[in-house]
Amino acid sequence: MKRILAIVLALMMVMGLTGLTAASAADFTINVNIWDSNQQAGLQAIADDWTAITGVPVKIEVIDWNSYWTLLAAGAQGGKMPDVFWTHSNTVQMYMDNDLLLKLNDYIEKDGVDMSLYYEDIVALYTRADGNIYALPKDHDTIALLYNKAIFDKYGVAYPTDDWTWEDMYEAAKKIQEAGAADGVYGMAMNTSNNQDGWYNLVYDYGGQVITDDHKGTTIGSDNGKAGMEMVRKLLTVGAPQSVVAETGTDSLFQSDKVGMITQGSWMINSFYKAEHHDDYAWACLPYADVNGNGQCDDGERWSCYNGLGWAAAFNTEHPDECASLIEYFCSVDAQKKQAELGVTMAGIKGISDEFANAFPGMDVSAFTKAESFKLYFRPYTRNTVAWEDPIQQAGGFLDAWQNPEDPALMATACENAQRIIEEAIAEE
Amino acid sequence: MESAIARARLSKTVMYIILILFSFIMIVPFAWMILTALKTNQEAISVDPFYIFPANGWHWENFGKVWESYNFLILYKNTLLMILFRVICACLTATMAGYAFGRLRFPGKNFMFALVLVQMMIPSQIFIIPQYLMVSKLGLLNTVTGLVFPGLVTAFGTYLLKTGYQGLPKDLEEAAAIDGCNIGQRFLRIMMPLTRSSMVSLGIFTALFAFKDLMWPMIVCTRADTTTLAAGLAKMQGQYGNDYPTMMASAVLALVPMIVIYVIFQKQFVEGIATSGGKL
Amino acid sequence: MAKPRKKRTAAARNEARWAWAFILPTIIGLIILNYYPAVETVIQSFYKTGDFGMGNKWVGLANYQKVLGSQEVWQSLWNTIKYAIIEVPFGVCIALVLAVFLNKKLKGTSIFRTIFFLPMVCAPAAVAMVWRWLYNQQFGLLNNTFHTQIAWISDPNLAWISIGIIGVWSVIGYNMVLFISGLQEIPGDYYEAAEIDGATGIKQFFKITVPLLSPTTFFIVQTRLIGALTVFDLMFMVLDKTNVALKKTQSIVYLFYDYAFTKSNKGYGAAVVMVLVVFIMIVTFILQRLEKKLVFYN
Repeated sequence: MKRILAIVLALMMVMGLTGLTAASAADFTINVNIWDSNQQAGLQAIADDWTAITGVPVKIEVIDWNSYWTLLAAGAQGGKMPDVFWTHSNTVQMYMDNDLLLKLNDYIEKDGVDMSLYYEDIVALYTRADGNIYALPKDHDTIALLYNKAIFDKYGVAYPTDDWTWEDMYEAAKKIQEAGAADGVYGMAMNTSNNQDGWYNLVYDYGGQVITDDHKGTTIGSDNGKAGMEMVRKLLTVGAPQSVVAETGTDSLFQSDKVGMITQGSWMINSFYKAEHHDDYAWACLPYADVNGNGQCDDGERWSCYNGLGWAAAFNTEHPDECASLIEYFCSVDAQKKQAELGVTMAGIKGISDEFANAFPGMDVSAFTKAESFKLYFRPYTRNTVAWEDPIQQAGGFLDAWQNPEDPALMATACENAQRIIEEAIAEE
Repeated sequence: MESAIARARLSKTVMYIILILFSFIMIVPFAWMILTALKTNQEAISVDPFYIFPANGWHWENFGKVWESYNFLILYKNTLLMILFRVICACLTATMAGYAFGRLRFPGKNFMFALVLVQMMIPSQIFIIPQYLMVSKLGLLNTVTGLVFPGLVTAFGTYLLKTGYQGLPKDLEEAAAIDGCNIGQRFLRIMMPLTRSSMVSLGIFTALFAFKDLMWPMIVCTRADTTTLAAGLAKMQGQYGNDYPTMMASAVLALVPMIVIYVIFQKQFVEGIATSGGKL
Repeated sequence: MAKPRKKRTAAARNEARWAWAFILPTIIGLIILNYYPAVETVIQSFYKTGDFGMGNKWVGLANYQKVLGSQEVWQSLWNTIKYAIIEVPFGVCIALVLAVFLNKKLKGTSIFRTIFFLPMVCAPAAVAMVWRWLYNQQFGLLNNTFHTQIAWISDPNLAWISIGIIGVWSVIGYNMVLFISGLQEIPGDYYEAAEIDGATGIKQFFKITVPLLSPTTFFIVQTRLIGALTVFDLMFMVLDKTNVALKKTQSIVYLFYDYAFTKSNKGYGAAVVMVLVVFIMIVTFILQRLEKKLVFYN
């Protein structure tokens, strides 16, 4: 037995040593980090096109959302950052302020990249006050309403239309909730963490702002903000309880045919497109708030959140030229079109909506492209977004109101608490 | 005489019942894991958990799918190497230090041992970022050496072996000293072999903790071809999130090597115990 | 001091040299790998962390003041203690009983041993996933088997017990292996003599096994206690951040992670974890005192 162990040990050491040396003999590869596995295949295809042109291999790795930022920060602090990666409005300001991203201006000028092709807000997000550009817009996304036709049929409720108000949604959800109680089916589902794809939109529809345009304040505790959240509260009374949603997730609940409707973002389409019962799923435009009660959708009554990720490179990457070239390729018209056609996400370049709408044969996703005609607000961000974004979702924030949707006073108090939390966090920045 | 036999039989029955009950409790989560891996996502989240024989048979292809999308062989290899070197380092350093603390007298002993004890009291999350920066500056990111780094020495192992050495009879050393052995020989030839069961235990625990170590491999080996099973599994969770069967399938695949190692080790383990038990 | 310094004999000096040589690798390793980082973290606790560890601002004791006055911190310490109260006693007692059973020459011992050890080989992510699903209110095995609607991990009064159960489940195998190796070192003659004297199994257990096993038991209790007080993985992976039971279940190390990594406030996080370190030191100190009274060494 001992002899066998000794041989095994020796083999291991040899394996280990060869493993260590093999790595350094390879040609260089550009390492790319992203956090959305849904997009990996499509992006790798586009990257391979670039590799065919330049001869430099690209390796895309998916790291889950939480670890992504921990790793990036650890790398920034003295380790190694990936060559190319996604930036997000939550944190990009911090990275830009600390010069951790590769400056792209020279490359943009040299290669004649036309910045006017992109959505202005996204370009603005990734441009520092001094005019340095640190990321190119990768995409944008919008929000829509997802419903389960089978459930609507079963309980005899009319499908959502593109003219629905939130009150209409409430009525439909109520019918489903009451009729489906025996089967354990809920009208709708939304957790405090469904912000961009959920309750943020109601705040704006009713005239409030989660973060004001100057990114230095909030009006969520105002009467408008409270009105929006009051509507959310009503919806929650005909939806799944918060503890259920926290344990199982709105998407899982929906896919297990337990929920009639949820709101979701365009980046999640793939997940529902590939689900087993995808034939039952359909998308409608995000409802609006008929604030002035005139029965039609006026300007400012229908908003959708939109976000735009950026492609950036590490300031200290060993291959800045190649990284910049890859980034420009990802954000070029051809690649953006391909990205949309493959159904990866909607483009960062304006005017490529049709390709995306047609990317899912058998599933009508035009609700998302129609959303582009709504009023759009950029996903609320400040310099250190997480400092307030998480707390307002938890106890001491909106979680308290979510626990007891029957009580309007709780929601109003939660709005005031949220206002305070956000203002305190901004003061700390 | 009869009551003694009856008593013995009753107590044996009771023992078996308890053992079987706990075995059941231990196994249920695993059985659940495997069964879920064989379902489709829809079946997995269906309300009836006893859905063991689904309509369309068991979906063994889930395993194939996961195996293809993730290079498990490399994960196995990296994990194995990390475990192996950590076990070697731990056993070497701990047995020496454990012997010194357990059997020798020297100035500063109490203070040094306090250092060992105190380290065990500190949550490991504190060490991570500075250790990461050290490894990064040494250029050891994405290497096996980097993976082994925090496990080069072990306070826990030192403590375990100190207890082991302390429990050995005093006369042995005196006899050896009379025979003219120096301390080093005493250690190598007599004392160390007697702590075999403790060493085996240490080896097993070091291997296990190395195997399960999540945060460290995650930040040190970010590339999919250099990371370990635990970190790879966590990444897969981020990737597949709500796809329970795929997650469970990857979990099962991640477990297989450890179970295999355990089965191999089990014989060694039993031998080790039997030998040391017999000597006493 | 009037006491004359005893001249150390050559033998004693020799012994000391050997001893130092033996402990040097471990001690140096501990200093470089653990103490130096720990000191760095302590120093961090006196600063307000800037972005990415740059531009830190000295704030003296401000972090500590906030920590000591924070209800959240004390609640999480209490949560951690509650968890330890479940994991340590149950984990030790059950493992001891099982180890004693497995030490007898019953049939199928190795099979049982393999089974009990299985949870130990499981990666934490997998354990959390499976139990999270078992405990699920709507679809979980537990609620559907017993036709209950219990919110195992969402009820603030219950969640800590549920997590404790996972802890015990995971740790029984570990404790058991250590107990078995300790049991093996008890000479069989004691038991034979007791048999002859007519002592029952249970009496043998309490009069022979427990005392002779006390070094091992003490070791297990000490390490598991510290392990339980530093629990993190379970809460992190089983409880969603919007879980309503979170405040009453999160451990203090979880809080540390949240502040240090998620919120990038390493200074505050370091202060939080220092509270735990001090607490653990007190506990260890008490245990070491008890060791002299409770443990039999040869």
